[in-house]
Amino acid sequence: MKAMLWKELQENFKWAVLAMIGLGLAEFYGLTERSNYYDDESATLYKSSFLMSTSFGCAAVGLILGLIQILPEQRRDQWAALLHRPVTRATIFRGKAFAGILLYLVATVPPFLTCIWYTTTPGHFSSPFVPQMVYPGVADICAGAMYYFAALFVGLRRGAWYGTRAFGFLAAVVVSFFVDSEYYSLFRVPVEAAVLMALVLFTAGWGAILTNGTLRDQPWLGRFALVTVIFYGVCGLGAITIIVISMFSIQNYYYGTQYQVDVDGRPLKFISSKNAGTTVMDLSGNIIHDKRFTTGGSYNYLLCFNQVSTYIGDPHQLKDERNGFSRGYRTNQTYVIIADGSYDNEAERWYYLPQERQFVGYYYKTNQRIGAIGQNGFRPGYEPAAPFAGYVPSIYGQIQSIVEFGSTVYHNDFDQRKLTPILSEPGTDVFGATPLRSYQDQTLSLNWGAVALLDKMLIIDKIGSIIATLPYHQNMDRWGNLSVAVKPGKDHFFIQYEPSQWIDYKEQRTMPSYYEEMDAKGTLLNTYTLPPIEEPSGSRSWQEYIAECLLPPAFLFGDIGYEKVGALCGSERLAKELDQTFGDGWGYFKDISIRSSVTSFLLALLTIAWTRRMHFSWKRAWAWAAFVLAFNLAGLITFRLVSDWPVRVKCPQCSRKRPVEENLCPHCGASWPTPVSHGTEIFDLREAAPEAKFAG
Amino acid sequence: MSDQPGASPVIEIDHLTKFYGTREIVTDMSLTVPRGSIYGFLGRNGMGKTTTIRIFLGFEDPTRGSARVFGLDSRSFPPEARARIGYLPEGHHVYGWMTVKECGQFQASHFPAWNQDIFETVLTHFRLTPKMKAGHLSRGQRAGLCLALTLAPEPELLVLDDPALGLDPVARRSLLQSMLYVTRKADRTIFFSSHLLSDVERVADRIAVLDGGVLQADCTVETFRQQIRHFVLKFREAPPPVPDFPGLLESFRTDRELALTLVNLTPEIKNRLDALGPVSIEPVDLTLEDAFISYVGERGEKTFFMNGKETK
Repeated sequence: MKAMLWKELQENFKWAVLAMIGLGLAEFYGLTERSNYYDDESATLYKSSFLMSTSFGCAAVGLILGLIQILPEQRRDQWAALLHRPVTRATIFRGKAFAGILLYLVATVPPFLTCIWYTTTPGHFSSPFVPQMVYPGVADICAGAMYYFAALFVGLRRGAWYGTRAFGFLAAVVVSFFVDSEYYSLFRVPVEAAVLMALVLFTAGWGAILTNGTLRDQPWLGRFALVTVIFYGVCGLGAITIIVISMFSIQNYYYGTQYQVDVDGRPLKFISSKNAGTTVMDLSGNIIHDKRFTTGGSYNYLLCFNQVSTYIGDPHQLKDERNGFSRGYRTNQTYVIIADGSYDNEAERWYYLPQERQFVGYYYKTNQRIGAIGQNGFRPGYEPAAPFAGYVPSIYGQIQSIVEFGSTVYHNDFDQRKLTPILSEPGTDVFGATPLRSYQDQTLSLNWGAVALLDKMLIIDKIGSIIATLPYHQNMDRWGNLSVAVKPGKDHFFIQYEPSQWIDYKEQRTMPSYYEEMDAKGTLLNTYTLPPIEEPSGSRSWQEYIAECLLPPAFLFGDIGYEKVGALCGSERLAKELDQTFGDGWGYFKDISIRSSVTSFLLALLTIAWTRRMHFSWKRAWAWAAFVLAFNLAGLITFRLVSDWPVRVKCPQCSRKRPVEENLCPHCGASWPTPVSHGTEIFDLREAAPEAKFAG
Repeated sequence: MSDQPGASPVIEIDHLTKFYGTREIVTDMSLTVPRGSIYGFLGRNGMGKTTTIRIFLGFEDPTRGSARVFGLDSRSFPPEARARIGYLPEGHHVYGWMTVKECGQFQASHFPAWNQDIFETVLTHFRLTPKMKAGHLSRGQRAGLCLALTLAPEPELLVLDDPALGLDPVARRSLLQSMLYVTRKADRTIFFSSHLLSDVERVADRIAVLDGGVLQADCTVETFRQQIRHFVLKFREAPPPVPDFPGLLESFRTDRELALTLVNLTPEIKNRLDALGPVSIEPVDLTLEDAFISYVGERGEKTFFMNGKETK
């Protein structure tokens, strides 16, 4: 293997260096390019242009290096010359793969390290660096390695490009969606997925080189990897197909329905659609003909609901996950949150660091650090500041001009380099605090704030004086997603109760919301129940319907099995999910299960018929049918792509098609005819023809 | 070099059939290559020679039948068996970025029985120096380097797929000489395909001829030449129509002569030739190349231009 490693490194080093230069330039450009978006510009290693260069760049480098390593050598003589060595094919593969992954790291790691060095060196950016900011880049490098192994598989697999080979690439694309998603909070999850798929692709490539293209000669590990790769590739192709079809099939587009309260305190329902425009009705369903709501600037006649909390209490241990939006490992706000108060001073930028629970400031022009503000006040330069006590439940990824830590609410004043405590509620947590705006036009600030406590909401002014105390009147465990609006006269308040964030989204859609109108003393004046917004007619798209029919039962029931095992092992979360499935979600689950199972069953029957027609043995036919039963249409396509499909030709005896690999015709039992003798064959073993002597 | 009676066969091909898709490339082929023989594998382009070689070396799986080398199934060839086989594919592939010396080092690292003397001897024969870049070599030099790389491990079986393709006569001669070097030991076997019949005639003691994917001949060179006979029948008038003889490969007529090429001549056919009433029947000696062309070429009666008009 050492010789193979040496040969591969020597042969392809130049490509790795070229890739390193190209990727380095792309990443550096992405990092330093000026952005029109303030939050993007300060994101450095999270900047969209930088992440685009790492995610696409690493994938491209991996793919190109892998293909360059295999394809030029794949001309059959050259490949035969390579394979004809007294070493196993596995050794040749390992030599290539290890060399290739080394070269891939040579091409991708130095540019990334350079970008990290550039970012961490003071004076280059007016924003902080936290070590977790390297996560997306590291994840992209891992994902690129997956593309490298996909390229090995694509190069080594025998078959049509549009057939099984391309699916290796598609399998990598599927995992890339996962890696690039902003929804996964844990860095290790997408990285593990990428590494796992890289290992599967590595194994599939190893299996491909071991045989001359057949499935049956592969070791079981190779077969498993091949089937997994193709299955994921098929799923990826299906997802892409549905997305593309959806893009071309948008018809009477449904914009949305929402509840609003006008400046007179009337709850209204706004229904918007592409064709009919906006329809406004009261809660009884009477259409309101009011030009104020159908012309431009209608929001000036509507109250502005300011979100204060996403849930109340802490029964679900989600304290540090109140706002999923800001918790994605690929979202900058998870580690660096722009502080709202810094807008007041164009020369400075202030940020909140959730992990360190302190604020840091930078001079915008010189990119030098101003200092940090923590529990112990301002500390200039790089002097450490003490973290604030408790978490800040950031909303929309931005720190507002008032902010809460634990049981204290502070007002930000970055010009004065301090956070002033304006309200303290010892013994209870603050579940949210926000400055208030009166109308939908958010420039009109009231200089008031709202603070959500366990049993009431406080409206306070800039110095913390309580203007109103608004007690809750709903089940706060389930309706703890609170917003508040102030009527123009500043004497009446509306609290909107929406389902708590921890509740499953599907369940949330079935739950009503509430408006409560109160005066400053907290007297309940009116309660309005807002029915769940019904799905527009026919909103269950055919794409969803098809997707449910084609859902692999193995996933569906596997998920239930996982929840069940988890519940038995003591996982509260999984036990709850299981209860949910067999409780409120039972109807939905039953519908999907029936559709998915019926489709799979029919396809499994088709598989048996198909395999028998193609002269598969009963054993193989049943095995593949079971596979299709478990994995539905994706399983059927996978079966067609990976199985050793028999070539059939017409039987000279019975004229029916028979597999060329079988010695006997499965229809008539005839063996293959021997080549016709023309009397011109010359074989030593035959009787020598007598020498004829002719007269000259 | 002749067969050693009782020697175990090196290559055994048993009812081998190969399909690419629905196209049958090799049909029910059986062939045994004895140890110590030099076997020429002949056939026109696309007749399945390379496919057969690739199958018995384990690069392709047979559709039906089997192939064994040193008694081992080609489907599961262990690395140790490969060490005993020298294989020179027709492309004369070398890694262009390596020097001649590096090519040798890379190859040597895989073969435990590497003989540096042989390597250097062949290089000298082809006027190659260690520092030459493989990518800058001429076609003949590249072939020489490949042959050196193939011979240096001292293989028991040497398989060459059209080794002289595209080489000039001098390079071809050098190649043949080097190739024969391997058979200085009696138990060494050479199996090679070629289109250059003069080379085959020079070195091979047995040939196998593949035509249309079917093995048509498996015999000594001498037998092949003896079994294919060419006669010129002279007539006083225009020759009569040629009857449908078994074994008739081709016929060629002029205004007073009929030239016939026949295979596996029998007394009965000889009598039928006599019955045509020629003035004389003159046998003509054929070279291996002539015999081969007649054997695998277009069969039947040829056309000819005579007295300004086209006549059959």
